[in-house]
Amino acid sequence: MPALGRAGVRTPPVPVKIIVAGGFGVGKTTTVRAISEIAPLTTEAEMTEVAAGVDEQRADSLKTTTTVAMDFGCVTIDQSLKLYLFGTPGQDRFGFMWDDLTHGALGALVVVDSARLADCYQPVDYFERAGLPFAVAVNTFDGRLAYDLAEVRWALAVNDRVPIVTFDARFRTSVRDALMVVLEQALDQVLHAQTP
Amino acid sequence: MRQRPFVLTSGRVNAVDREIEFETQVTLRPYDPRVGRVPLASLGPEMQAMVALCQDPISVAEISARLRLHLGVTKILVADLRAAGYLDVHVTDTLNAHSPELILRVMRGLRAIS
Repeated sequence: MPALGRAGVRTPPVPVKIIVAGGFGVGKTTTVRAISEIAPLTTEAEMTEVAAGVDEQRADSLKTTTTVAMDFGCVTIDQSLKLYLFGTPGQDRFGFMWDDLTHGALGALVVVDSARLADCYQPVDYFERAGLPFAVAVNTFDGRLAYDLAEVRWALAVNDRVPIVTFDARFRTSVRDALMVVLEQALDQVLHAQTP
Repeated sequence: MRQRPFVLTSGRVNAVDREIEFETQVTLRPYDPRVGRVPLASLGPEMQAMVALCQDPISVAEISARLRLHLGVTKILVADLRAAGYLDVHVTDTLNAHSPELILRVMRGLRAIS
């Protein structure tokens, strides 16, 4: 049992987080694993998902709650600052309301498989609407890239300001570089918000 | 870190609960003899396991993952333990956007990774 009542109570670090989003099997957990100082953990939570109604004439959509699993890891920045990386739920058949997960995040990395670009439309759309800084990172499997980045950008139709980079989710330094791009976007957004 | 005021509504859900995020940090609260608290042994095994996990600062998501409890259940138990005087829940002020200094600190820390 823990020694309760001891004098030296640790002050917790300030937690910050970056969301790792993308389609099923695109390499979100690999990304987290590559850089996390702990082996990725999984938390299960209730998420509300918005499904299109069966009758397409109806304007309302059907909201259901389902349990989803999210993989996550962390990187200690310093004694008073800790970065968490949360992967979005693996399988999003419809529109998950990710607000609980993404609330207060520094930004997001949208991982893309160039052979399955459509899988990232939903996360890109979500982050653009949420106004969360993000970058798109094309996971190159063994250096293979189905299209060049210009074609990827055209296909995704993202704002020109959104960075699209390549990376290899298996390698720590590559993931680091991709996350740096997200942070640059975050910094950019904050600095622009400050200018009158 | 500023703590929000504790507001008891139905006894289980309060103002702090709604602000508990995945990454919210939880720490052990030292025993205060002036206040006292119920013996840990009288709380459920899940709560005891939770207290054991919080020896070092830990996130709510990590508690959930390591104890294999749904996040929602974890939040409730954390709030209960907070009410029972065993845990402190460190809610961050997310009304203010992250500062440039904070983002730069994260960048500096990441840059050091090799």
